[in-house]
Amino acid sequence: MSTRAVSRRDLLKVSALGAAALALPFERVVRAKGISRIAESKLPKPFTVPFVVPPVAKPIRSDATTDYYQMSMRQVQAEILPGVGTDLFGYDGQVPGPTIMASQGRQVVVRHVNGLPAKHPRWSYTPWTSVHLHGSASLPQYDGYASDITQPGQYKDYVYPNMQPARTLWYHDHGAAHTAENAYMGLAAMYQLTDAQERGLPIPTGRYDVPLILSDKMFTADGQLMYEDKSHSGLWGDVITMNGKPWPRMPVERRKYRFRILNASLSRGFRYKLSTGEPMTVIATDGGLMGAPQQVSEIRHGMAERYDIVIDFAKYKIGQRVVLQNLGVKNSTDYDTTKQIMAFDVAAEPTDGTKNEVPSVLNPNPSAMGLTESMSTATRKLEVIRGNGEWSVNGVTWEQIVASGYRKVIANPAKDAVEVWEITNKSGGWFHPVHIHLVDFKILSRNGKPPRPEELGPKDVVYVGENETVRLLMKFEHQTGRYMVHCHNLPHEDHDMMTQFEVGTAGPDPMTAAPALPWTAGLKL
Amino acid sequence: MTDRTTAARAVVDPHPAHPGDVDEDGSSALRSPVPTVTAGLVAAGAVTVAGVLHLLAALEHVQHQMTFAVFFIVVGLVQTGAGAGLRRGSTPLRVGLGLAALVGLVVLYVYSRTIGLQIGPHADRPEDPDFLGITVVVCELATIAAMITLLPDRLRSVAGNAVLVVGIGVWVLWATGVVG
Ligand SMILES: [Cu+2]
Repeated sequence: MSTRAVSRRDLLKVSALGAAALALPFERVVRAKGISRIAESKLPKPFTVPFVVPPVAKPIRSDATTDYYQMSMRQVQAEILPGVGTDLFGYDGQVPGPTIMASQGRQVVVRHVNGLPAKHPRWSYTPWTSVHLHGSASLPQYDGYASDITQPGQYKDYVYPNMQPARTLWYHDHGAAHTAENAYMGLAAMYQLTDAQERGLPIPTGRYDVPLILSDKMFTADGQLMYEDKSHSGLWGDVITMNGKPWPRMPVERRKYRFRILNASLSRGFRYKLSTGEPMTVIATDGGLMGAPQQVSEIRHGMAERYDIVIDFAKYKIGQRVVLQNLGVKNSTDYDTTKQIMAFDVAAEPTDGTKNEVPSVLNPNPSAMGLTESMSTATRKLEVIRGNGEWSVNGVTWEQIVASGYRKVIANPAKDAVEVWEITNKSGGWFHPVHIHLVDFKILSRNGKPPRPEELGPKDVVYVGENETVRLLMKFEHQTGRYMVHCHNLPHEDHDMMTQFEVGTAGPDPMTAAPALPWTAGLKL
Repeated sequence: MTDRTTAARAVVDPHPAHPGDVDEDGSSALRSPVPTVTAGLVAAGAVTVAGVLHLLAALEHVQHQMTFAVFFIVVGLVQTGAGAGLRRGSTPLRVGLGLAALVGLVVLYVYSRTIGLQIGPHADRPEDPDFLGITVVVCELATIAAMITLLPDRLRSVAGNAVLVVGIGVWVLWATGVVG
């Protein structure tokens, strides 16, 4: 009997294979400058693709109180990368979808037809949809409740009251379990609500009021969108698109512009800085105009948040280029290509010099910002958790909500109650932009310290950073019923960091009050 | 140590290195410079761990990718079975087949992490190296080294050289840009 030990010679012979198995996968990761599989030559050089603004939606009819829109979600092939056709899902076949312009006091009805294929062409899930108008205090049945789905071949009419103050909203898919894929495929668009107060301000408007919808993508070798969310941790693409175009360049006049920046990425947080080092002026947040503008040199922007900023190009010479840069945030994978977003090329003298100011008072009646902690009648604690590979809020997942027949809630505030919600993230490995539907809130503090200057306005998404507890103050006004609260890192939301609360007791049922119906072409709205 | 016993004999004796045991050349095991465990036990242990980890990986995949789950279950069962078999003893033929299969699995791992499998949830890109995968591969490499040792001399050298050639082959493919 030999006490055969593994000999040095045998080990050496195995070591060639061993070294390959252990080293080569890491070598590939370290060498990767991006994550896309498409040839680098197919990616445009930054600031070579012209900037575009999404089209404005036209109502199919209007009456005394309401504007009616109809759009069909369709699969289309479009060019994101020049010369490369990519399959996308678009509202009305557009990515981003058409911008809806609304005025306070005038209702909007949108008929959304799900004209998507029965199966996603490559990921083979059924693209059922639920459209959420993010920032609107809509009735529960029109809020894009995740399980209130519209199957391919069905439609649903959504009613938007527009009784809130002016703000930048967006509509995007919220269908249970596939929100991330659907939004990533392109189901996202802006919705602008204006009011008399805002129209009376001397701030830039018209063509000087520009939507900026950011979204990062990754591409397969044959130019299709690639979906890789690292076991539902997040999707961090290496191609930055602005209004659907990669690293575009926008010619600007020497004057002030208002930019409504929406971070429509699934998981990527941004930190903006201008290449000139000049400050940006934040004038509005998720819930509309701030009380007073805030001058900042950096803006941290989590997913689904909106920041309206004013940049003054008058201080630059014609021919000068100002690059909107991304300094990156913790726990968002950055690549060389994600450090730049777009370029503004100062190209001409202003053709219109009016509405070219930022007054020191923007909003004397700042709704949520007028709340004080003494009005609060309850303090609720929410913890955003990862356990057993599932994301949850207080250990509650959407699956459990479904299993409860949609009855389970994590909070039940009375109508018009004011409450403090404390959201805690004990992890240093993730941040979670938490969205509370229905309400606008005021951020009281972050780990006991004041919020960032750009957050000093009404919000509906809060960036809950690593090892942070964020305290929020909100009033449960406008509606009663069940509404979602969830993380806006969409792979987190889908798996399964989403739960719900109920305002009052007798609200309409989000599932049964206005369910989707079979679509037949020509059906009159 | 001229009489190299067969692999079967090598693993039959469960207590080969007891103090005072006398080795075939008459020297005391105590005088052996390095304390050793028999290669058979190393191979059996390592392949069992690899098998169990494959079964765990199957659980992870069962929800979203049935093909992978089934593959991992089959590999896991074969590996845990082989572990039990190795503890009872084996033949050069079985060891040789096992070696070929394990080398194949390691190559498949490298392929999935560098070029990328064209099926499954990662169809359009190579997977990133992960802790579970690395642990499995380390176990499999240990099994390969130990199983080579189990073979009779001539075969042992042939098998070792074959594994070496595969290893060098992978590096050549990498250097020429085929892999990675
Ligand atoms: Cu999250």
